[in-house]
Amino acid sequence: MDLQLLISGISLGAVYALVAVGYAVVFSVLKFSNFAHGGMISACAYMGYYFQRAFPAPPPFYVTLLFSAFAGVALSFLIDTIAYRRLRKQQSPAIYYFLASIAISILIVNLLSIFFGKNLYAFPPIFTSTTFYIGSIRFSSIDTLILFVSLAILTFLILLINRTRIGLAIRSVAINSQTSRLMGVNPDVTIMTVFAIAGALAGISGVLLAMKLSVYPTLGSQMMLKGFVASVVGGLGSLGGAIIAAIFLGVIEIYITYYLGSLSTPIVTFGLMLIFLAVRPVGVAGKFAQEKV
Amino acid sequence: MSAYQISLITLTCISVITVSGVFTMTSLAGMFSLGQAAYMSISAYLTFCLARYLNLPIWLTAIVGIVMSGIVAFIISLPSLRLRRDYFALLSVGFGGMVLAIVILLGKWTNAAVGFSKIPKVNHLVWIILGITVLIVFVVRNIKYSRFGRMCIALKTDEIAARSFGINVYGLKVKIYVVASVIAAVGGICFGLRNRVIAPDSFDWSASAEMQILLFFGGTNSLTGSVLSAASLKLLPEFLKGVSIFGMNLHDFRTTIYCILIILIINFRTKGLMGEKELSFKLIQKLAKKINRTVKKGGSK
Amino acid sequence: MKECILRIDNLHKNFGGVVAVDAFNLEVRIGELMGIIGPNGAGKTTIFNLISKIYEPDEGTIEFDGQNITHKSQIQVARMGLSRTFQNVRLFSGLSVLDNVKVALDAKANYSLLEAMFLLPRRWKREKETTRAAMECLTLLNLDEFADRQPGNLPYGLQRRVEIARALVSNPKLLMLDEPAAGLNPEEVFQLIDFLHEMREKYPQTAILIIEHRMELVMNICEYIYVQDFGKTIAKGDPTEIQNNPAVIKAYLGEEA
Repeated sequence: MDLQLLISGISLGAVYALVAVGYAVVFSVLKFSNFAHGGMISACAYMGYYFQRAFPAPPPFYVTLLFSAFAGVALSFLIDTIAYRRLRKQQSPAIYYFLASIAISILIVNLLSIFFGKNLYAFPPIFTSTTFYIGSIRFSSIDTLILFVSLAILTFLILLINRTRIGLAIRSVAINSQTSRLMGVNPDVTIMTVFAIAGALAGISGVLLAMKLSVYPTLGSQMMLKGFVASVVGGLGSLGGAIIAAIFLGVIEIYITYYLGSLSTPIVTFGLMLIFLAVRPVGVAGKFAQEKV
Repeated sequence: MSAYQISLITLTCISVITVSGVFTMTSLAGMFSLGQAAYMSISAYLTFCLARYLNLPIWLTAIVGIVMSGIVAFIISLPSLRLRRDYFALLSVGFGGMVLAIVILLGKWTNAAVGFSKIPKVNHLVWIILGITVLIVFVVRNIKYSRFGRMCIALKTDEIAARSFGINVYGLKVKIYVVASVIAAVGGICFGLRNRVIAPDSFDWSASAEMQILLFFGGTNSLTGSVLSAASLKLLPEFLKGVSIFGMNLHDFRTTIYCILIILIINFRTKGLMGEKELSFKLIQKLAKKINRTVKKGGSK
Repeated sequence: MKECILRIDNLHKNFGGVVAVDAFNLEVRIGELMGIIGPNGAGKTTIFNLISKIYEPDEGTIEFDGQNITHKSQIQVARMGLSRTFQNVRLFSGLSVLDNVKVALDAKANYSLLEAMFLLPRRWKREKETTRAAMECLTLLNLDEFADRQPGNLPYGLQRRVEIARALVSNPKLLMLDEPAAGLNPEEVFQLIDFLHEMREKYPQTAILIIEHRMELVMNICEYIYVQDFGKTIAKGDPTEIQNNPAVIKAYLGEEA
């Protein structure tokens, strides 16, 4: 019983980690909280859902995932062009990015609920049986799949950021964008890459969340806060920290939901966040968020 | 006045009240919160539930509700205002989520997601709300043109420079946050009295975001601009009710329209419609003179 | 001998491994005008940030107006009458010139938020006093014609003067000017020198500490000069002594001459 909860929690946490990383990667380079990420997740979930249903015989799972990831990248670029690009040119203050990203997020949720209604759509099942056994322990097929997919993608991302040239560029812009520009890092390319990563992550986490929770307009914005919390608690800019914090958060949430009911989770989440930030207000900022006098 | 006109007036007034609250916090002191709607819900639920279950007069419970919102705001602000501005905004979203979760948890009394509708009818409501609106706008205007307004703008532009003049940045932020939350609380009670039903849905973070959108549309630091935009943008959807394009009612797109407008505004007219200017008689006089002059020039040619 | 307003004893500050300020000693008396000069990176601004309590010193004591302020906060020190300007003009862009000056008095103007909200009598009285004091200061410094302007629309030299007026309006015991001539063209520098002379006549009680690397300014107005290089004081004395000091010529003047 407990083991099953644990795995379910880890799998939920792994999806949170995808959300958290998608958020953190944009934050590290552009230094603003991209609220639009939640809206992108919802939109991608719908696109994945309709893609899956568009064929007489549902395409294999990984095809849907890939499609949704590409759709996410496209959407991400679109949002950047519409909402952020001009702000960057004008060097607007952070509050404008905030407002723009919130507006985009609400816009997406609003359009989705106008065109598709507020009903829940169940994602078409991928497995014939929802559970399987190893020995005498019962595992949820979806949870296990989500866990492996998320872990694979997170590993890929960590390698991308830590081992490649473009990853190096992202890290250097995150630490100091002016200096890295002097060192020959092209900021536009870096920003595009960051949005591409965020978009792809939104697409993938959208489909995974949809499989777990079904599709509805506020799916993504509900996840957004969890992603935020994870990336803040884990230390902004530290991918490993964010992932661990996200998994921790997922496990806690599953246990709280199981023992106290799902309504208590927002209370506990906020309490955790407040206590954590009150105790370590500077520590959590990590290396990236230092401000100069 | 017809019932419809009254409902439009009260709708506008409530929008003006809530946006004025956000004005003090965001335009003056630069704190960006997405949790102001939560204070509306705290005071509204307290006011109407206490009135209902303890059989107390509504004005008394309203005071309790407003004071409690202020106390909650004070407690929340102590740790959260020490943080970076974006963490503060993020915490405010979590705070809103928590308050609404508590409302639903206490479903036995609050009727959870269905909404609490045992709200007494108040006579002459439109006059009461109008009076409150005028009072709130007056108060906020006075804050802007006082030492507090100046110190707020100072700390919003440059905290270190502000400190170098002995301005207690943290203390001032806490004060302003409490005032803004109390104003939101007043707005919440008016909202309940007008709609006669309150449900958690009306107080979620997108409601708070809507206030920010109305605020910025009016101008980055213009009370008159924000009041005007709060009133006009809130009324706009009412006039769209009958209009339909491609078989879809435009009224359903009101949020969409807000979002598109604000994205356009911050991209193309970065300081909002009015920027930092206030609409005043002087400004109108100046404009009139300008127009006069150009007309005369045109005439003499 | 006049009374000592600021006394710094053996001040140290490190950033990582870099020694920014090393064993710095300084005494400023009432009404004195003192300069600290030195090339970029000599730790001059760090000294200011230490005195005005933006940074905590690693070692040493700072005494201001007879009190030990080493562990006081930036706000406390400011309220004791220590005022400063910044290297790059830091006027508050949302406020007019007059309001910028008024805001320097606002922290001490005691009327409460409630009195402000409901326009009670004390609010009117204090606002009047503040406005009068601010206007007086602007008039004294010949800046009154710009009172209603937005600081962003003024030329840089004027912005500097407004910033100095803002720091002066509260009648501080010590005024610290961080590179007041930075970013000014030669003519504006001459105007600034006149301005500073005038200011001294009108505020004789205020001691002034200037950081600068424009020689003409420092030599022209300062009574006593400290020369910093790589965190260390390499010379001190009046302008003629400094001009003839071989160590200074080598470290600093030598490059320019």
